[in-house]
Amino acid sequence: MPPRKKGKSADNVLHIGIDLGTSRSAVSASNGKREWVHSYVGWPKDFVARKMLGQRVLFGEDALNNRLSLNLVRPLEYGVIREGTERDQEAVRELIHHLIEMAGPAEGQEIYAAVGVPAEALKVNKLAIRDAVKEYADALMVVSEPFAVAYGLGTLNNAMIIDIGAGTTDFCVMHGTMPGEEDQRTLNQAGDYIDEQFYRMLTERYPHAKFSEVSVRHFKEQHGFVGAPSGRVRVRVPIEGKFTEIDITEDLQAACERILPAVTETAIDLISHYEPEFQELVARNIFVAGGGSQIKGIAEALEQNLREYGQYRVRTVDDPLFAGADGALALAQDMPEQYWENM
Amino acid sequence: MATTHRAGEKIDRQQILRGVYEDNLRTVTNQPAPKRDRRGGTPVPKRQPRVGAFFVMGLLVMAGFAYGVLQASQQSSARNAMPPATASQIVQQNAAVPEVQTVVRARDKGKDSPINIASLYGLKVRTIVIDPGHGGIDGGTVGQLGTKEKDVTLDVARRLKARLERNYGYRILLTRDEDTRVSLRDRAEFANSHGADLFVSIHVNWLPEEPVSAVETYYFSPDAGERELQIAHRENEDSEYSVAEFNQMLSSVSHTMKIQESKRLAESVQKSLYGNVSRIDRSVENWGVKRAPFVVLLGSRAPSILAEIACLSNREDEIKLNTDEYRENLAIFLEEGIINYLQQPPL
Repeated sequence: MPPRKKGKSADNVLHIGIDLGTSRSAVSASNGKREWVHSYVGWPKDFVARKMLGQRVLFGEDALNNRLSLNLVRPLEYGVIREGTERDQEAVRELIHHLIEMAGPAEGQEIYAAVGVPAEALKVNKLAIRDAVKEYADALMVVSEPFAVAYGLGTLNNAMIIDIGAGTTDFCVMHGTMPGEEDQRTLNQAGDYIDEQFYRMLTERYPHAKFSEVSVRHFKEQHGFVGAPSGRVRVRVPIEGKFTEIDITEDLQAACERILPAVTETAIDLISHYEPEFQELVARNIFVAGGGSQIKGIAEALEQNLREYGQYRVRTVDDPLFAGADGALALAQDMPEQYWENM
Repeated sequence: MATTHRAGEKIDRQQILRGVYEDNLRTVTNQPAPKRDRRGGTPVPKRQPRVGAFFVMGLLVMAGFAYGVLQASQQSSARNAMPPATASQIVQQNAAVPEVQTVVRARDKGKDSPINIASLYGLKVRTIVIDPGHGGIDGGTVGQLGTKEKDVTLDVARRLKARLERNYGYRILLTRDEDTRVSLRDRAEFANSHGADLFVSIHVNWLPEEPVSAVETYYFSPDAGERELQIAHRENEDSEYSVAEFNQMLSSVSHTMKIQESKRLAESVQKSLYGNVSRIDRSVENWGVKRAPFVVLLGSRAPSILAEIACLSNREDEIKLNTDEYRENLAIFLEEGIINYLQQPPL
């Protein structure tokens, strides 16, 4: 599909909020559409693959399922578009285009898009992301993901968002103004890190079992937990050709808990730079977002860890999959018309 | 600025939206972000002349190394030098430590066993000695911007100590906690006299011939390549061991638990260091786990490693090493490597 042409009429505008994540990307639109996709983009490796698949480019689950026939890219794998990787930039462009199409804009409708990206990508790839999106949107704002989440929740003051994504964990303190660099932190310990640890533990414990990165991530997404287990976690994996049930409870718990010390410490370090009165207020308004917030017990475990520093209240956001996209949409809809003109 | 924020400040949603607009406008018009103070950044020191690292040969290492070679076989190459009677000597020398004798036998039966012998025999780690390389008049290597190895190693060691104490409750001791010169002998004896269960020495590399960044981790062995020997010469300058003492120490090391566990510890730390650093800097090279005759590793009775955590000859590395964030990250990566080693599950 060719790039959408910019229209001149501002009467017929579709506002779109996009959460461009390392693992999943989501879109919410003012026409009520809400969709998400795994952040995978794949191009057929050769003519045969293209003929078989019948598509120029595949996304998400489709791309994953056909990965052997594709050059598969996860464009924000490390929380940023890597420098000099034209393929990654192309993948971001395709992914954004796909998300906008999923929002179902009407013919001739102008698109005003607000895009939330990992905080590190906002720092180093802002221009590249703008370039990737501008072909398909009539006006565009790029913000950090945790800020988009905060905006959507309405927690614009006295709050901290901890966005545990796949590539990075982003921290953002809201204090009634647009957060600056000093109000944010980024950690490399996030979902992918848990997967790596979990994979290593499982392959060490069950050296004859066959695991893949995808299956290990799937186990985590289905059963991930921290703290006391509510029951045993057993999964079926091939061991020397035969599917066998194994117990992964302890390893899953240990892998998920690996990020807790760094997350706790970074939260404390960030908060400690503010005035004491403000620290107390923020301490009671900590929200965990992103895919990592779906790890069972994570808010309670963080609250427990933070308890030695004072009275903290940690909650997970209600809809982690769409919290960023919904926030970006709210921001797009609230943005005064005149601000869109130069964007 | 965040630090000047007052609690209860009225929120102005329009002001926030304007902030988003202005931020994006700056990107569109290619204007820099407004200057704000960055908290906690370590100022970059002024340029200082680099101290030549390879001027003095490590006499002790050479002597000890030559002794090892002769003792093994006059016909065999230096790479194969290892006294054949060493295993039994160790059993005799460690007669008061029955676990070690058992371990030696277990090791002899199953070389390259995936079992962590320390966990197999229920041996506990309580004390970890962290050794910040260099100090005092011995600045170690110095980067082009004047960053001294001794300052980086001490700062990262302090951070690692704080993390391991806070997160895991180990007893953590530093061989130096200030900018003082400590001989290699004193470092090793400090570890031994305080009952160290693990010994981790932190250094920063200097690779003048190669404009690269690399991480590598060493454990003790007299069997080493030319480059490893050069690095060992540089790091061994202040050992203060006599030749006889060195030879005695050398002859007491062979296929003991110490070597096996040092290797495993080095593998775990290297895996964590490289795995994580490469997520930040894709160009960093993995130079892997290596054997080299560092006397500080030989002198400590505990499993011992020496980690070269970054490369001061690489300008980008030096810039990163001058930030709190990167030093803390390096401490986190070392912590992860140590903890992964300690938590290796038995079969």
